[in-house]
Amino acid sequence: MTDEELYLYVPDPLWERFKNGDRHAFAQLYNDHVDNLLLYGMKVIQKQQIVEDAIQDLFVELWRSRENLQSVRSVSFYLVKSLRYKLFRHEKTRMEYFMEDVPAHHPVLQDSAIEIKILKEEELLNQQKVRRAIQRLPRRQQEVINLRFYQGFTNDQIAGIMDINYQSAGNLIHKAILALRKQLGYALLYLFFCILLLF
Amino acid sequence: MANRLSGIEELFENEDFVRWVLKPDEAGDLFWEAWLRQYPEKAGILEKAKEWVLLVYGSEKQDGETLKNKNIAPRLWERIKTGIDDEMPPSRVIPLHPGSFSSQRPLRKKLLLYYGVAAAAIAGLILAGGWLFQGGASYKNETPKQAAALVVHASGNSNLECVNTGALPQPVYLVDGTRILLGGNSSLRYEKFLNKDRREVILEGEAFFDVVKDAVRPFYVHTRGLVTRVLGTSFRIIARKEDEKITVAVKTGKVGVRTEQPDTKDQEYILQANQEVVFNQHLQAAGRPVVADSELLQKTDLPDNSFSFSDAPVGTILNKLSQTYSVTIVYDKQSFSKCQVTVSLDALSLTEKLDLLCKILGVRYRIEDDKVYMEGKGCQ
Repeated sequence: MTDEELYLYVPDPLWERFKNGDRHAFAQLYNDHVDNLLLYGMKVIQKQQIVEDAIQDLFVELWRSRENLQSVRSVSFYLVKSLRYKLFRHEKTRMEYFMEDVPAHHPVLQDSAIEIKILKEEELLNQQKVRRAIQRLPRRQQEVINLRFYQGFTNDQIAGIMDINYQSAGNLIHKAILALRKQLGYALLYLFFCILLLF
Repeated sequence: MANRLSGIEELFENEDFVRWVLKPDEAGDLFWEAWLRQYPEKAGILEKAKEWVLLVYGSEKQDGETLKNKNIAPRLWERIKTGIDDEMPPSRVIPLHPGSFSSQRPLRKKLLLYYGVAAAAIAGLILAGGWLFQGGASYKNETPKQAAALVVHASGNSNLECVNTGALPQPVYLVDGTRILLGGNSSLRYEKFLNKDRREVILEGEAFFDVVKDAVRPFYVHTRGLVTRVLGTSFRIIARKEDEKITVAVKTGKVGVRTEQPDTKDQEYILQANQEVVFNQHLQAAGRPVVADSELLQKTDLPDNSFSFSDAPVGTILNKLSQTYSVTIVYDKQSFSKCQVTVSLDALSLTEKLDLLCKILGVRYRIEDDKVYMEGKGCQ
């Protein structure tokens, strides 16, 4: 059994059109998913060049093998999982991903000054705190947070993408949330305090 | 599960909660409203947890925006296009029918093997679903190019096996009025007249069921060691051979799911509307029933297989009955040929349809072995 087969279901119409050789459908697929894939890729490995190359490979291969591809129930699941597989073909990526405890710096994900100004001040405070806290997490935890809280995947799907079992996916999410809480210490403590006052 | 969700972190870790916050849907609204009614004291926690999920989402989104501003996507697309155009121009070969190629092959092969042995003995009644369901004008096929691929095997006795060799779901109608949308690459076995004190079907693969209520004769779906007891409802079961797990998701009404061994102490899981439960390969449930993945409860529209006729020759009606339920109807073509009937037989079981039709015609019918016999003179 493969994870792709787990998600064989009602075929996605756009995917089916692409499989039949519709180039517009293919471009649409790319446009629908590329931002997500770039972001996800950068969570796994911070090297923009490697992420770009992997996405290029992924889409060129998709087009070339379109007639032999299976129908998929969740295109985003399929693409994210495939991208991860591609990224991990690089020995260096794997090493970095598994060895690193805390990422050193985040060259790509820095805000420009203008963006910061646009955001409301209050919102910015929390948002920036959360963001910085996430950036200090190990890559695996950042990855799992992206999959859960941004892409909205289930434990089951996360397990499928990361090639781990259901229980491990749950544990990893638990760990990531604990770590996040630790990072956010005061903010969350304050929050809990407020809740205690409520009851 | 949900009732143990006491604090923010539990909600934070709950996949259904997070998915609902990110992508609210009706099933989620219903579930979490009910949850709040049960635990009104947790309203504050729910709100805070929601806020935090959105904060994390916002943080990720911000990262995404930062990347987006670098305009990587259009540049990358140019590279991909170049990569693709290196390829030989695509051949003009029309893609093969999905049912006759690629991933569908293994199942088909197996079935051919299965039936190959008895092939000669089988009074081969093979109906192509394509014209079976032509009446379903309102059925919106997503890829109309693909022909329907429902194959019905009927053996000498009255057992039927419906095999959907294609990729798109196909409708199957049972004589009690129950309607089933059989998933791609799936099969369904049942006794065609459901002539027992329980209505039973055996499913391999995936199907959506819309079961007609009959308190006297409960409906059972058997799937790889699990049995789903139906109390009049609509629901989906996914039990694909290549998967390790089995999913049961309920759209309306209630079902009970348990393992086939009645002597084990395994509990029966009762699922309400909008709930699902997932079993692993050892037939252990992943937990209590939870809010169903809304995707599972979509695309359940069955084709409008209308049984309304005006001034229709009786032969046409009998043909349609015969095709819909895969039963043989024996009648004197000569004497029935002059009958024209205006009647609506929608939403009736096969026997109810026959009762009404016979009443109009002033004839009788009987079901013997695996055939329906029309008795009487018809119209003169």
